[in-house]
Amino acid sequence: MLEQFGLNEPLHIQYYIYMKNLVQGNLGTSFIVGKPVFQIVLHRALNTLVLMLPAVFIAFMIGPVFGAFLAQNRRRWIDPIGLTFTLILYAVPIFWSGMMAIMIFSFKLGWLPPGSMYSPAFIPQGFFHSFFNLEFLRHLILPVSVISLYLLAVPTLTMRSNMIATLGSDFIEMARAKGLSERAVLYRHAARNCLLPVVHFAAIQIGFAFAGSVVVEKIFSWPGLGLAIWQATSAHDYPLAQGSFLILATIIIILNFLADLSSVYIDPRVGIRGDLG
Amino acid sequence: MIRFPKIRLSTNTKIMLGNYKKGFRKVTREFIKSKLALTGIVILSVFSSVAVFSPHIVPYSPDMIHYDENGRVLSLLPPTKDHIMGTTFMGQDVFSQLLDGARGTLLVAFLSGLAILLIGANVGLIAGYYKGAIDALLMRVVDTLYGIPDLPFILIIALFIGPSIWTVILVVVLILWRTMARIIRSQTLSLSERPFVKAAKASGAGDFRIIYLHIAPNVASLIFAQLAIMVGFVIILESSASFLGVGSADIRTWGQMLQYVFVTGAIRHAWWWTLPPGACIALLVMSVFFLSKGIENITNPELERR
Repeated sequence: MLEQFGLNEPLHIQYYIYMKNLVQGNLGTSFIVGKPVFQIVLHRALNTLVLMLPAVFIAFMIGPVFGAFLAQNRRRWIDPIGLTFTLILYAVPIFWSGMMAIMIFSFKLGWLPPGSMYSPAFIPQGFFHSFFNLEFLRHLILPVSVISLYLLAVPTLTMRSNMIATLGSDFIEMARAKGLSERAVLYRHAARNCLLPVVHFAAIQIGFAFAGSVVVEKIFSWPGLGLAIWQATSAHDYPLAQGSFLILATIIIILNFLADLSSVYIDPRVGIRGDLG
Repeated sequence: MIRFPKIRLSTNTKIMLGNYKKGFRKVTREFIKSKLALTGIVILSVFSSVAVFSPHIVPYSPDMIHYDENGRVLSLLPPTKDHIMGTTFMGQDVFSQLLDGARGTLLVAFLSGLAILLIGANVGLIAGYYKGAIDALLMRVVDTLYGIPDLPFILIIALFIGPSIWTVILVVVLILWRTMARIIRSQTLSLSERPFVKAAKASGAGDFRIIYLHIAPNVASLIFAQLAIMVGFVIILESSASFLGVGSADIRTWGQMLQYVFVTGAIRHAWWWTLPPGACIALLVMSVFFLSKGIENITNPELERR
């Protein structure tokens, strides 16, 4: 058993073997499941992706609009209320909101299933069928709403403070002086400029969502990457834990890189050679 | 009787201390005026006093198991007059556990916050002041840390060095100082080009003096606004980690309470056990966010009044 996993070698040799296998795309074999780690992790990452992408998408569709709306009404009573509401969304730990959602919508009202991707009796036929069917969507609603509510705060707050800063600048005065309607000023002139940092945050937020997937997936027993890490660490399945952590970190680094690239692409003022510090 | 040596202050230092006193009074006044900051401080002080005095104000011992008159465990009892927040699966008083949990949660937040402040602010100041190779080296470390997913990292480290509250604090500090360092650095970079720094340099002040007496007071408000946000993240991260079972059994935190709710399957109906810890976490995090926003508004008033 020890020999099979190469555990009888001294540590530095073990490390060397691990790195050698890693370069060849071999993350080792899971102690518990007995399957190659790479295969498991790839499958799990896909499950996390179908959970996180819709959530991020929804949050970044609603968030900027809500933020712009708050900035527009920044002198009215709605702004402090909206701001407090957003801060509450940000401050509530996501696993707790998930638990409360399960308690209310699954156990109290019985509208939605409390977790996992399918009912136990459901067997998906083929790849396409496994993600495009009512059964799956019904299981998707609750976690996606919980995650997107949590993610809503960052785009809203960013948009709001950017809008307020932008509305004080000269070109907005100019647009107003031209006699444009307030709506045109806000949405055609101000909002466009404020969207840049929000786009930048979107990619970073997907990364954060991946990191936070551990708790969400645990709550909703969603068989994704986060749950894989949790199961692996609680079962002392070192190869699987290391492998899934490695893949998770890689995904996050790639997303951060994409975030930087996208802001260079959208906003020519951000130079590649400039000080990004 | 112990005699304290008499400290003789130079005139210069006296003036400086006087200025600090005046500044402190001014800041206090501004805090009271700013509703946001005041709300944050009030909530935070309530939680802190609960944390400090919790052993004296808990109605029952938090680990005590309660029985009814027939000797059966009062498991998952809804709120009654004796147990205003009901009981846990094990028949313990939820309210007492909640008060006790404030202690652990705030202890972790305080210790991690302190360490993040020390590491992050110093690294930021040093990197921003010295620039060049030191800056490049420190910032690459920060960049590397940005690639590490925080919560999974806690799990992995706990797998190797064992789960305990100290593991959580260690990893949280190890990761979260990055943001502080980066923000303080960029501010220090621009401050160290200002005339007053050059003047200090010209009059022969050492690096240490310039960094801590000339630059640091100017970034202090930023440091504390950032620290408040970081402490908020610490609280969320700690409760998530404790929820996943990385905490230790001898220190109770709110995240840990929620872990027991989940593993005992009490989320099916025991709202009295689920609601309070989460609401407390949210309220605590809100209070530090308010505090941070308040500090920002006080030091940068034109931001909000446009």
